[in-house]
Amino acid sequence: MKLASAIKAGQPGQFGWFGSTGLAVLLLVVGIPAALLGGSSFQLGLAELNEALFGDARSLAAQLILTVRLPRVLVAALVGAALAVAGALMQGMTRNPLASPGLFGINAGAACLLVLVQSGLLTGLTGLAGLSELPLLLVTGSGAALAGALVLLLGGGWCRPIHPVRLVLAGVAVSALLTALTRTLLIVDEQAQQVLDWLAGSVAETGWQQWHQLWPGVLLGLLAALLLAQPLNLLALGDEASAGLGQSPQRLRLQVALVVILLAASAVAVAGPVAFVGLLVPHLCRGLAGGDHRRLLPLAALFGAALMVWADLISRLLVFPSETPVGIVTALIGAPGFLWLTCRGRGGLV
Amino acid sequence: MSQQLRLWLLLPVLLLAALAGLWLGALDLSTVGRGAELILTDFRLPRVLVALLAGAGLGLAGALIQGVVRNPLASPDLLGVTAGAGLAATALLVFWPALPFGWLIPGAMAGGWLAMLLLLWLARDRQLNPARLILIGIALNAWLAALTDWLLVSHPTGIDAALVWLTGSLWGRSWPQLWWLLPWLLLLLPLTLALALRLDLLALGDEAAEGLGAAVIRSRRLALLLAVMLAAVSVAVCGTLSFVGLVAPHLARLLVGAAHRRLLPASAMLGALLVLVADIAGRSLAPPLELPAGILTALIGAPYFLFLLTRYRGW
Amino acid sequence: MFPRLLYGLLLTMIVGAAQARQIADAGEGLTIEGQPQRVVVLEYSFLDAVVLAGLSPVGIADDNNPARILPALRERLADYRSVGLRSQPSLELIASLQPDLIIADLNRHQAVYPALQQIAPTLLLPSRGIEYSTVLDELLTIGQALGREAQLQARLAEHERIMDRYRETLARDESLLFAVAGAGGMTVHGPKAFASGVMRRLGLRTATPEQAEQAYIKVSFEQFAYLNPDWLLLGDYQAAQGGAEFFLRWQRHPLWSHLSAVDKRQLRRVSPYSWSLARGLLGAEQIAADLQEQLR
Repeated sequence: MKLASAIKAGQPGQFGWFGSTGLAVLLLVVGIPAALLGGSSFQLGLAELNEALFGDARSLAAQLILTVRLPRVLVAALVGAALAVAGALMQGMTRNPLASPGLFGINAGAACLLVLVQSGLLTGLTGLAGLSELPLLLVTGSGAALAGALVLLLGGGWCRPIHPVRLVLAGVAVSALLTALTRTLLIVDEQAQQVLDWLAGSVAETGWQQWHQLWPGVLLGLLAALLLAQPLNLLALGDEASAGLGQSPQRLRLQVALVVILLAASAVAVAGPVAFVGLLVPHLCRGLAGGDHRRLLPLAALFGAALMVWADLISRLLVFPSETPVGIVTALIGAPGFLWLTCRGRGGLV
Repeated sequence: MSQQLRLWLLLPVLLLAALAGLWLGALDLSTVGRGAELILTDFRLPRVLVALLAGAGLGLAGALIQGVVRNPLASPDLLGVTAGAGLAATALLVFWPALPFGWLIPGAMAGGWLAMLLLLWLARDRQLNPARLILIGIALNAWLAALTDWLLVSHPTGIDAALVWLTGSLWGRSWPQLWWLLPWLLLLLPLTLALALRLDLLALGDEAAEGLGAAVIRSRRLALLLAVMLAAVSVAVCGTLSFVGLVAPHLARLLVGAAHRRLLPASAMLGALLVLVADIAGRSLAPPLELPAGILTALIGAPYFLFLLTRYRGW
Repeated sequence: MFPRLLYGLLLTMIVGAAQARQIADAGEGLTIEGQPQRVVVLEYSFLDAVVLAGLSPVGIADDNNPARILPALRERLADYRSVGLRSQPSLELIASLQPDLIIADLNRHQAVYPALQQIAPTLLLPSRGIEYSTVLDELLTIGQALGREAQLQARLAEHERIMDRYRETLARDESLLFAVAGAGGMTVHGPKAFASGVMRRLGLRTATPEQAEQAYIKVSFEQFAYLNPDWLLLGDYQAAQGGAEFFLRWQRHPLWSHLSAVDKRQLRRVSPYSWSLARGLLGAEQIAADLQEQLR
C-alpha cells in the first residue's frame, strides 16, 4: 500500500531512492535463489545450492546448478539491467515516454541478420561460404549495431539540430523495413521458423560462454551511462538551457545514442529481443525515485535485473516441462504492471 | 496553392494504380483464354477494391489518432486495437483450424472492439489525457501481442495461417470480404471528414483548445472512436497491415501539410495507395510466388518515408 | 491393421458401385465423379498419396523450390507447374490449370477454400503436425477422391508388411528420442509427432515426457538431461553450416558425457527433412530404413 501511495503521489522523495533500492535488492536476493532452484524435473533444494556454491559440487544436482542454472540467471540479470538502463537513456534523450531501445531498430536488425544468415540466403547472395558458420552472437550483435547505425544516420544524427522526433521516426521506419524482411523469410521458409523462439527473446540456451561474452560490453555501457547522467539531467531543462550551461545537446545525444546501441545490442545479441523491459522499468523507477538520472539509472539497472530473473523463473514454470521464451513472460507480467502504474496516478510518467 | 494541388493529384495516381491492379498479376490476361473473365471479376477486381478500402481505413485511423494524441509515434497499432484483432484471429486459427474463413472477420473485429473497450475502461474518468491514453494503449498492445506470441510459440504446428494473417495479406480476399468492408466505410468516411475542421482546432494544443471546453473532449472521443472502428474493420478483413496506419499520415503531412481538412483525405488516399501498390507488387513481382501485402507495405513505404524524412524540419 | 484394410476394401466396393462419390474431409466434403486427371496439390505431404496412386499432379505449391520435395518422390513426378507458396498459392495460376481436383491444407488454405471450390472440387485435409495414423487415413481419403483406392490399398498393405518386417529386427528395450536442432535450440518430438508415431509402430519406446500434449516440445539442456534417452536421433537443420551452435556448446558441457546416449555412444544423426517434413508413407519407410541402419 505504501508503494502504491508513493507512486500515486508521484513524489520523488516519498518512497525514496533508498527505499526503492532496498526493494529492488530484496527482489533480487529472493529471486536469484528461487530462479536457481525452481522449475526443474530434478530435485533441487537449498542443500544442493549450498553444496554447489560453497561445497565441492560433486552431485548431479549441484553440477546442474553450477553449470546450467547459475550462468543462465546471471545472464538474465545482466540483460535486464542493460535493457532497463538503455531504455532510461533513450527516454531521457528523446524526452518521449514512449521511446524504448527497440526504436533504434536494434531488435529488428539482429533478428533480420540472424534469419538471413540461418536461411543461407546471405551466403547465396554474397557467395561467402564461411558466413553461415559465424557465431550466433557475432551475427546478432552486428545486425543490431548495423541497424542502430543506420537509424542514427537516416535519423539525422549528423545534422546540426538533431530532431529527436526525426530520429525516432527513422527508427520506426527502419524497424518496420527489417521486420518485413524477416517475416518474408519466415513465411517463405518453414525451416526459418526455428528462430521463432529466438525472436520472442530467450535465455534458455545461455551458458558461461555467453556470460563471458556479455559482461565486458554491458559493464562498459553501464559505466558510460552513469557518466552521462548529469548531462542528461541538464538536457531535461531543454536544448537552449542545456546549451547555455555549456554543453552541446547534439554531441550529448550522439553519445547517449551510442551507449544505448552498445547496451541494447549486447543484450539482444545474447537473449534476443526481450520485450518491454526497456519501456516498463524506466517508468517504474521514475515513479519510485524521481527523474534525476544519477539515481534513476542505477535503480533501473537493479529493477531490470530483478524483473528478468523473475521472468526467467516464470518462463520455466509456465508450460512445464517445455520452455517458454522469456520475452513473452516479461511482456505478460510487465504490461499489466505498466497498466497499473499508468492507471494509479501520474507516477512521473507524463 | 501547391499543397492543394498535390492533394488533387493523388486522385489520378490512385486511379492509375487501380487499373494497374486489374492488369497485373501472376498471369498475362491476354494469354488466358476461357478463364480470363473469372480471374478479372472474381479475383482481381474485388481484391483491388478491398485493398483501396482497407488502406483508406487504416490511413484515416492513423491520421485521427495522431491528431488526437499529438504524438508522431501514435498509430492504431499502439492502441491495442490491431493486437486485439490479431489475438482473436490467431486464437481462432490455432484452436479451430476447421472454422470457415467467414467467421474470422467478425471474430477479429470482436477482438479489436474488446481491446478498445478494455482501453476505454482502463482510461475511464480521465479527461482523455492523450499521453496517458497512449501509454495505456502501448501496455495493452504489448500484453495482447505477448499473448499472441505465446499462442504461436506453444502451438508450432498450427501457425502458418496465423503468421500470414498477422503479416497482413489480401490473398484470397474477394466479394464476401468487400461486403463486410463497404458498409462500414460508407458510414465512417463522411463522418471522419466532417470531423476534420474540429480536429484542426485540437491540433493547436490543449491551452488554445481550452476555451472551447467540453467540445474538445467530445471531439477527441469521437475521433478516437471513429479511428478505432476504422482500424478494427480494416484489420479484420486484411490482417494486421501494420505500417500503413503509422506512415500514411506522416507521408500525407510531408506532402500536404498538417491541416486536417487536407491531411485526412490525403492520409486516406495514401493509405489506399500504399496497400494497393504493395498488393500489386506482392502478386506480380515474382510469380508464381505471392507475397503478403503486409510485407511490401513496409518494403515500399519505409524507404519512401525515410527519403521524405530527410526533408523533415519539425512539425 | 486388418480392420483398416477390411474397412477400406468395403468402402471401395460401395464407392465402386456408385458413379458420383461422396467424400468426407475436414471441410464441407465433396462430390466427385470418375478419375480426376488434372490434380493440383497445395502441400508437400499430400504428394505421397497422389504419386503412389500413379498420378503426377499438374500443379504443386512447392514454394517454387522443387528441392524441398523428397527425392524419392521428385524423380517420379512429370512436368508440373509451380503455383507458388504453400502459404499463399496463386489462385489465378490454379484456375488457369483447369484442374478437376484440388488437394488443400486445412490450416493454410481455409481462407481460399470457397474460391478453390469455385475452381474445382477441393479436398481439405490437415497436414502440419498430424500423427502417423492420420497420415495413413488421409492416404485412403485421397485414394477415394482420385478414384484409385484399390491401388493405394495395395500399396498400404505393402507398407504394413514392410513396417512389420522392420519391427521384428528393431525391437529392443532401450528408449529412443528424436529431436531437432535449430537456431532456436532443441525441440523434442513428443508422443503426437509423426516420427514418434512411426517409432511406436516399429515397437520402439520413446523417451518423451508423458504429460506433454504437444507434438513438439522445446527443452533446455537441463530438461534434456532429465529425459536422458538411451538413443538420441538428432536432426540438425544446420548440419550444412557446421551444426547448430547451441548443440556444439552442449557437447562441451561437463555433464554431457554423463548422458546415456553419449555414454553408450548411441547418438545418431538423421535427416530432419525426411524425419520431420516428409510426413507420408515414403517418409515413414525412410524413417524405418534409417533406424534399421542406425540402431545396429
